[in-house]
Amino acid sequence: MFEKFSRRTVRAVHTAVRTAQQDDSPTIEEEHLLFGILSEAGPVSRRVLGSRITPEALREAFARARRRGDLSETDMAALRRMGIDVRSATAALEWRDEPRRARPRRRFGGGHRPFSPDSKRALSGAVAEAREMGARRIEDVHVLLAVLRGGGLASGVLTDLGLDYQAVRRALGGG
Amino acid sequence: MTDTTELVTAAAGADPADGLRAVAALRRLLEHLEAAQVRNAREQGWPWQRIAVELGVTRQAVHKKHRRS
Repeated sequence: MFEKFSRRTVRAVHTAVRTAQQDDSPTIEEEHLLFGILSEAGPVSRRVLGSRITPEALREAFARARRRGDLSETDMAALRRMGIDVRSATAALEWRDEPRRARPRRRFGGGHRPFSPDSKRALSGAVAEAREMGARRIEDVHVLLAVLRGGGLASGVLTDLGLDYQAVRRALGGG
Repeated sequence: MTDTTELVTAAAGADPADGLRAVAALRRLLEHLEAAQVRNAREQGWPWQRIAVELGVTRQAVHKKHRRS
């Protein structure tokens, strides 16, 4: 599957794996893919990501969402527009401060760290994005587009920071 | 009553993108709430069997999913 990935995209995925390791995360999440893309960004992805999306801003937005049971500001707004108020439920979670990630599952031999279902979808979605845009190689921005299209936590966090699918497509000149 | 009416109205006229995002968000939230509630019950000494009955699943299912948390 990786043979059509550009070198930059492969480097971004490697960085994502390393970031997951540093975070002691049992899986490689979309969040880690975004950190990978950000740290390996070239001229195109840098222009698309803009100045608001920094590692610090991402970390902070993900941490905030995690304390709320994996809900971004964008998710909260969508729920509100549906007439659903989850604030008291998420406040109870914040109070408990979720020990889930503080206790990573350690494996014997410890090498293998799988991609989460969401990040797997993002990587295969990137292939579709590249094809749709008529690109020869799968670039980091195609992974970014797939994350945004996926509708998971990471897409909500990016939307919180002012980036959405249509905006990225426009920035790439692909309508 | 008003809440129900508002909810129905919102659900009927809503942008599908909002509606679908809300559903996906609720699904994630649900997992966290379940984990937190099971943890709380365990801390209060509830046996797996009783937790399973309240959740409406088998004892094996709840044990397999939550024994590590």
